[in-house]
Amino acid sequence: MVTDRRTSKDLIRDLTALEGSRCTECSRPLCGHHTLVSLVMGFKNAPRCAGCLATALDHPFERFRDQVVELVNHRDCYRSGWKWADRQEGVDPSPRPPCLWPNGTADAKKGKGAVAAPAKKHTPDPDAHWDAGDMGCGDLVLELRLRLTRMNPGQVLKVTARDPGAPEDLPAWCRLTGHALVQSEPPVYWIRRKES
Amino acid sequence: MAGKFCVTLSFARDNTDKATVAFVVANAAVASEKETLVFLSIEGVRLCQKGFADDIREEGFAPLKELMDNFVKAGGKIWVCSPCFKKRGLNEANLVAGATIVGGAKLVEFLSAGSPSVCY
Repeated sequence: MVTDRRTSKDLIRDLTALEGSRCTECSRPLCGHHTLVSLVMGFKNAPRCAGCLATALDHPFERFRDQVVELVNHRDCYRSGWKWADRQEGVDPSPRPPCLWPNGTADAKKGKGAVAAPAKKHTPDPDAHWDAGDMGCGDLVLELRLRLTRMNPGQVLKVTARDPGAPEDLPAWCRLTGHALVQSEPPVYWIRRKES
Repeated sequence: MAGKFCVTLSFARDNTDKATVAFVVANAAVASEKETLVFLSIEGVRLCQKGFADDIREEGFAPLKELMDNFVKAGGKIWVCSPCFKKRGLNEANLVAGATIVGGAKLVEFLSAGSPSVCY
């Protein structure tokens, strides 16, 4: 578990760094609430969706979810993270967001089915577009680095990358370098250049 | 899990001894509650295809397929080098359970988090 010493600022920084991540187990995209659940459970470097975490713990999804939400409600930093996730997903502040309560007030039948795709975000207007084709691995990120270097801080590069490793690689590269993966819809990715 | 552990493997049928021992060590790591990764590169990527390891059995060891299955069931991850995979014309639809195609940045991130690594 994350300790009480963690501040809201720390938590939101971690949530932001994990934007665009996928579940380490099932590879589904993680929305803000599922990422928060993963952080609450201590999975910062290998985030997992709530469904996979429940399965790993051999708990029914609903029971696991409700226990984690109970933890969230008792700590200021987690509550801040929950509000952050509401905003990121463009949903009204809610104790029961659809990504964790896919059937509304009724509980999900199966934990795995509860992993909703992230709510549709506003697609950022890119400042440049690069079709990387089948380029992958080191070639892809080296060229990507060069292209972002030529852009101004805060500008967004829309990248189309069809390499089969790109859905894993580009989020990892962004976490490593500090550039923000604003949106990910493989094979298209929107990356905002960091400040320096 | 406390800590990470990485096993890199660049052989398959061209050195079944190394391929087998790599997964034996990986199983020891995952059994020791390490977040364990087997990174397949070069010829090793062939092991990511269903059926490829089925007839590989080194004397004195469990069959390779059994070692791989047990590794994944215990929570181990198999990452497959993307350019090595593409070079060999392998099939994305035929990946074994637990295998994910990744590029170098993903491996760099895992190792940079402080993972030891052993190479076969």
